[in-house]
Amino acid sequence: MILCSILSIDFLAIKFRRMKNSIIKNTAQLLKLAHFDVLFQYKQGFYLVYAILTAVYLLLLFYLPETVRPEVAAYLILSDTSVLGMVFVGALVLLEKQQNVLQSLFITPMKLSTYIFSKAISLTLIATLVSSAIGFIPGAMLDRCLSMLASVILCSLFFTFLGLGVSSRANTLNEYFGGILLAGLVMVVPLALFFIHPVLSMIFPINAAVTLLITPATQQTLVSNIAGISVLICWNIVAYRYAMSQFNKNIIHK
Amino acid sequence: MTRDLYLIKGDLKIIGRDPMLILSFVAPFLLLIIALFLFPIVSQLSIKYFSLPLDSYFLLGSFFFFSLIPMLFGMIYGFILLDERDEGIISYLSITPLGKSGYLRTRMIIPVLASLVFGVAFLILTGFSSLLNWFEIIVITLIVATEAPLMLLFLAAFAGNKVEGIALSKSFGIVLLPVLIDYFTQGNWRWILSFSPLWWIERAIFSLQEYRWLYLAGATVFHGFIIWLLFSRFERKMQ
Repeated sequence: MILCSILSIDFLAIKFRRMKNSIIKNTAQLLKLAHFDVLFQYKQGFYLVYAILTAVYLLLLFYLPETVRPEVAAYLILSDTSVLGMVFVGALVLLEKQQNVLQSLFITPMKLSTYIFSKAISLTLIATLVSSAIGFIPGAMLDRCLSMLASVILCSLFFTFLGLGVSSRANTLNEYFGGILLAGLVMVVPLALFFIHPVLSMIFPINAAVTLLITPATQQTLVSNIAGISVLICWNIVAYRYAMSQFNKNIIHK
Repeated sequence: MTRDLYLIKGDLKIIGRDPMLILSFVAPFLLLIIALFLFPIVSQLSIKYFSLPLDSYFLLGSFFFFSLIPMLFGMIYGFILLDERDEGIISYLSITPLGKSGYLRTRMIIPVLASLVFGVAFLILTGFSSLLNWFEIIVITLIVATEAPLMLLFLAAFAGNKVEGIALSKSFGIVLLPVLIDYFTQGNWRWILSFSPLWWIERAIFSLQEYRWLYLAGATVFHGFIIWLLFSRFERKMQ
């Protein structure tokens, strides 16, 4: 009996150690991949283009009166920086498809989830940097910095996952843009529900993101923030599963 | 000419197959619907909630949409060009009698023609005939239609691959911004904004009528100069 329990504890310890090692290994692989993704994006001029765009946006925001800055900053963040992952990821995947990078990549021990997370994290990094500059430098969103960052990060991850799913099906850039335009429209339409039923409309990702972005700190409640973030996390899980299934279907098991 | 027609025929096939390309030919209609029907609704809402009538800005808004039409076509054809270059199709075509410049010429014809047709119709339907005569409308549309090859050549000349192309296309919005800044501000410092080809057109339409043709001449020279510059860079790049 004692021997049996010792053996089972030993077995559990080995299993736990293996799991720990595999998590460490996967995380290291993910960080390495994300690092190279960031380097590639830097080399392709993403950071330069966004540095110029941020400068233009900042000039515009400083020119505007302080009362309207939060709304304009929220608009810029939602229409450009939060969704930049969706725009860029298609070009990245299509180029890799064309250069047969994906075929080589997926016969290595690297997991599909690592690839998808690496793309999403690297693009979310630019989105967060640019959104922080737009939101914080003119002081428009300093009061709600945490909810704003949560909104931007979760929104960017969501749209990048969505873009990854669409890009796996597309063969040309125009086909991809057709797909994301449609997906984008479907995502934006529920915004109109805000005027009909503001609370119920929070179940849609765009509404949750907008609420987290534009609600001033004085009107925010812990419950509403947690609700908004939970909604976005749920949608992220859906979008991630969509990206995984589309990649499996259209690229790996093609 | 016959070989150009073959490529155009092929283009029409691509357009028929690709949903985005069909959408690009629907987009000008959508812009027109927004300009004609959504603007008045937004203005009514703005009067109701902020007591701010927006009627006086309708023409500016329509002009903004009008300049989007050739940009849209230019970008879509630019993306086709980027795809084809990444696949090495341009290299194949360059050793056929069509040649690289023939290929580029054909790629530029459809967006220019489409922008011309949609542009003239857009200006007339959105009420620009109260501000401009028919000859001015045609000249302005002709100049603005060259924005399409301008976008296409910009992508062809500067982007090494489609990823760079998408990054570059994000910066196209900067060309549109001077139009708004110029309209809402005063002073001679606004000449700094003349780096944007659209600034010249906006000045020709909205500033004093006596200077209209001067600005249009400036716009023609400026557009021609940029196209020549980009074309020669593209040729150098492809060699």
